[in-house]
Amino acid sequence: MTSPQSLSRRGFLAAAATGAAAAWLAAHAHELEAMASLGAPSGQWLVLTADQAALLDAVTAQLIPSDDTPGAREAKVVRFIDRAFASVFKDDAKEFAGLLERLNATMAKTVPGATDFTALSDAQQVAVLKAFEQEHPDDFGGLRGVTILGMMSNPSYGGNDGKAGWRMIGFEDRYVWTPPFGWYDRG
Amino acid sequence: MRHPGQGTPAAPPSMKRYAPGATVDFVIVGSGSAGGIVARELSRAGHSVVVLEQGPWYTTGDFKHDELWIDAQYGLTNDPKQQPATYRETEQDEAKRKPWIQYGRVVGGGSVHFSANFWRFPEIEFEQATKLGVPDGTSIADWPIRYADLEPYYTKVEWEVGVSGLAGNPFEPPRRKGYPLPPLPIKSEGALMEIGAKKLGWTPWPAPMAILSRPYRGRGSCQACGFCFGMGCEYGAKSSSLVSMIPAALATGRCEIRPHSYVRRIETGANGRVTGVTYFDAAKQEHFQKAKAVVLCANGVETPKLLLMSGSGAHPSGLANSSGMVGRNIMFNGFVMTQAIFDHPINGWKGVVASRVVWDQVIMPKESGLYGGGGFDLRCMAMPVSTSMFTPGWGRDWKRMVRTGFSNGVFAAGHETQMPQLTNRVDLDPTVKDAWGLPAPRLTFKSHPNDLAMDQWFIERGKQLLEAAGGKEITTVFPGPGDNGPHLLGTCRMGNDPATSVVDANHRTHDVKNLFIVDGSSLVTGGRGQPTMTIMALAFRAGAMINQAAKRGEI
Repeated sequence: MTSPQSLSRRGFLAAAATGAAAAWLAAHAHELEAMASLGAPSGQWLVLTADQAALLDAVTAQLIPSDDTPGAREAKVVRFIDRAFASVFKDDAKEFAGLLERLNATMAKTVPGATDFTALSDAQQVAVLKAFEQEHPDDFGGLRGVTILGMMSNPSYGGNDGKAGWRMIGFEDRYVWTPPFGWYDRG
Repeated sequence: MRHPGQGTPAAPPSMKRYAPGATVDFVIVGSGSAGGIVARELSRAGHSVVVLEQGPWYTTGDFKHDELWIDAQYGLTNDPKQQPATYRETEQDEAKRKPWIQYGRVVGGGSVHFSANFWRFPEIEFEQATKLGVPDGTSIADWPIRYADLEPYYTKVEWEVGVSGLAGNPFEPPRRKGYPLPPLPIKSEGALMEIGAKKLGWTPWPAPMAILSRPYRGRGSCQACGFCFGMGCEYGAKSSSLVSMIPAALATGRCEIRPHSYVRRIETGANGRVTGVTYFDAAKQEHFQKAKAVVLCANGVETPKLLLMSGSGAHPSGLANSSGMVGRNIMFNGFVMTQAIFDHPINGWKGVVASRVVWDQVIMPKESGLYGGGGFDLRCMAMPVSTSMFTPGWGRDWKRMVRTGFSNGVFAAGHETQMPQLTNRVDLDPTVKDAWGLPAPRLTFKSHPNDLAMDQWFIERGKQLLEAAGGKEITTVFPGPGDNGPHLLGTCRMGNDPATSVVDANHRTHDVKNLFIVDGSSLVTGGRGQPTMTIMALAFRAGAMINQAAKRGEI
């Protein structure tokens, strides 16, 4: 018999890549609660190294850039990712570290001589991520998945800071709405 | 923040609790759309009833707007990690793991998280073999009952659980009574449906929804919060079994609901009659619940799975399966979605899923050459995480697409007939087990050519509808095929002939006198999408029939 524990190995990253992130999250409901209550002293990370955090800051800012609306930086997506891999995605932390190493390997091939993603030009960073998406689609999907979760989840989980993600798409979390809801039903 | 999953509320202290070892009149397996109704009908008639539900018991206070939880809708449904499923296209293929099944796994079942579209089946649904013939490769058959037999119970559903709508749709079958509640307010998608459908010569109509537009029978009305799809209603305005039927069943003082109770076997005695069921409790400890009769309301996959797991000397091929039909003819309904972007905000993330429908295609036009029928609604993708995940790409262009799609995007959702086929079936996977050691359900499924052609037809007409409404950037986002999902239908079909059906017209199994089945598995054909209302109508009718049989001493 397969135990739930063994099934959760390589869980979220693989699930996000195949679009099954929701199922994975549901299976880890209890841990989500713990995650919501996690806090880190400012300037410190729970599981990420300083290098990993800097890399993720640059990567997530490319995936969801800041322009006339908020991006991953304003939403504190890296804080969300740090908390997530300290709690609800704990089983994936090692896998995630490996993913970041593979990203660095792709970088070295795409931009010969490069050793620091954060030091690359905007165009070079985009080129590296495009190459990574081609070379490691599942890894890229996992990275994109956690970035989106950090952007759009309830702010209690440490991302979507100041509801930046929701402002980005024009969503308001109210419990009561009355017509008109949109432009076409205004009567 | 409290989520479903933490601190499951206890059953009401006043609930009747039967002693271990007690024999009850009926044990009902499943507490969803059918189980909740059957529990109320049987307990109201004076019978002692135990309802066994696989999942936990939540109340409306547990349902919050937490996006992780909205996206994680499986919090209310089966967890594919604990309960894997497998799939293959034909019997020659090896089945591989695939999460093709989705069912409500809480007290209230799928009616807790459903979208609440409440469409009656048309009259022709019940007699398609006679009226339209039986296409090659299908097991289309007439039902043993007609629409007229079910009509009183459709009306009963509307008035008992609370349905909002407007009578008079020319494509709706005859009804004896109007809706108890007026339609919910029109949304922008509905206003666009009015424009587009009229241009195409179709008839837009207020969507019938099992959501209260006004307070009704002690429950509050919809506040248009926008979090219906896949989620429980915090206001109790969605007419689930959880808020409409189960409280009434408990109020009889004769009905006990046991959550976290996963039935693994229906037991039979030497005389071939069922004697009760064996189930796991939350701690995976086994219990035997003795009962004079058993009613399966476990859904179109869990019901046949349980029957196939309950074979014995008298029933070697599985219980109630002398016909070999248990698990066959599985249908999910056809479903396609096409998206368009509009110039102005729709904001479909406010309010219910659908406010207007079109049923002009309830019987396919002859020139289409297609069998069956369907209908449309216009809807939005209403959740930030799912919208973002679903929108392909990343970077600046992706941001623009997500933002535009979230507020200005509309989907034409086509709901269609899907053919029953003997070879499309669920049985027990020979190797894959769930976390309780029970066999995983194995799906063998291949779309019928008519199913695929229907998908194309509804995609094309959906595009026309969106275009006529002024939509731009039209793309097909979900082309089918319908080989998975929450509508689990047809696997223990009703019929008069014990050789070709599992239950009779009154939901009693042909093989076992004191075993009844009513849920999605009872459907002979799958309707035109939106099966829940019909499942509820069948449950009210089955409840009445079982009560009459009990009164006559014929169980």
